Amino acid sequence: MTAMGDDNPREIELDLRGQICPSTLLRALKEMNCRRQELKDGRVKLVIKTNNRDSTTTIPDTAVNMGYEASVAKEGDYYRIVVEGAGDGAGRGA
Amino acid sequence: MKMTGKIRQLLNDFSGLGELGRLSAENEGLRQRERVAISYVRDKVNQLLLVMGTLPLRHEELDEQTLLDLDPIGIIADSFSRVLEHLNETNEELHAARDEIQAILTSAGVGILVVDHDMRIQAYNPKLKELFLRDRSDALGQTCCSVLCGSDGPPPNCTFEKIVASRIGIHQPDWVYKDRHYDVSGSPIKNRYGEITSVVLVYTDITDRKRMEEALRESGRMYGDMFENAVELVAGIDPDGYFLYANRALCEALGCSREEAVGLTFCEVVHPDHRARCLAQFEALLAGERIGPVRAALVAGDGSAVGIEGSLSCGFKEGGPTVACGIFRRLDATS
Repeated sequence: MTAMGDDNPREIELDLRGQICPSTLLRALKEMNCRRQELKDGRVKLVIKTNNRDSTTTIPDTAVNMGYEASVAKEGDYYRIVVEGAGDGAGRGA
Repeated sequence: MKMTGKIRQLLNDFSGLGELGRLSAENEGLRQRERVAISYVRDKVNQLLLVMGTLPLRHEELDEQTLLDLDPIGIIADSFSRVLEHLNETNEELHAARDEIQAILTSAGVGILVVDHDMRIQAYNPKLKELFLRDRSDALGQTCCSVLCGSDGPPPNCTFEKIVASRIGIHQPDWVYKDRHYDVSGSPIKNRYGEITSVVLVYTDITDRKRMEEALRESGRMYGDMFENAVELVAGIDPDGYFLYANRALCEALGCSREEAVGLTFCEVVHPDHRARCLAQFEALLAGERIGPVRAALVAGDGSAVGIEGSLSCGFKEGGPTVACGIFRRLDATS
């Protein structure tokens, strides 16, 4: 796991390639829980690398249920899951 | 036999074999308890993972030591705590949104009706009650066709049916109910699978507007007839000087048809001797000045001059002139 760059939000990379779900989910959740406040404040975003297809559903779904935003992108022979704070969302109008 | 047993006991105690056996048995008991405990942890972890919508742990995935080191129950408990916190936040937002919607529904000046996919009334606002349900308090759960339209099934041209069929919002500009006119807009509400779960219908009473429009049309017809049959020459002229309207008397004076008159500029029909003065008066009028009586001569189709006298006024909108109206009498008959 490495922290990359000084930009806001800072990327925390979690390389889970070679592991399968639910082990990947547990490790991703552990990181989310450790980084809970930073994620919520938008100071960091979690970048999870996995080559386990099940994880591309379980991790984002659980992250969204926890109030985060999650996206999945295929990159080469693995998936890149980004979990970050949901922010304030769209304005609710006047 | 008793003696032999005691001697064996003494020998065991002396050699430590007895203690070893006891410790072995105790060790086996502890191992058994650990296996039960780990089995319990694994079962509970799997139960929680199933609740989270994922697969159970496999033995080869996490060995017993890693299982204890990783603390999956702690991880899932923390995650559930965050899920609950998020649900509470969402609930608070939903409560606020519900209150906002309720306030909007209550204060809206249009009737709002919510019906489910079976046309059964789920909610309505005070304005809708005022429009359609003055004498009813049992409308909830009834079909909108029975309550509003007074029929067992959807009436012809039913907005609800159109929305369900098209699956998009529909606008029906003039729905007539008990001699009153309504502008009806409706939108479907769909679930995550795209199925229509309910329909929101918005009713605006446009009866007064329709009556006013009809009165305006009637008034327009009346003034049209008056202008048309007047002996005075009546003209409507746009800011560029083109005739927008010429009544029969004016057309007769010019010796042309209405179609020919509309499209001419007033400069084309004013006698050349009067053209510059008339143009100056017209420009002053467009600039917002009041001008006095207009005296001029028109050139008829046969080239003869037709003397006229009258007044010219101009309408303005948003600071700019819209149309100048002139009413003149012929001077040739009297002068």
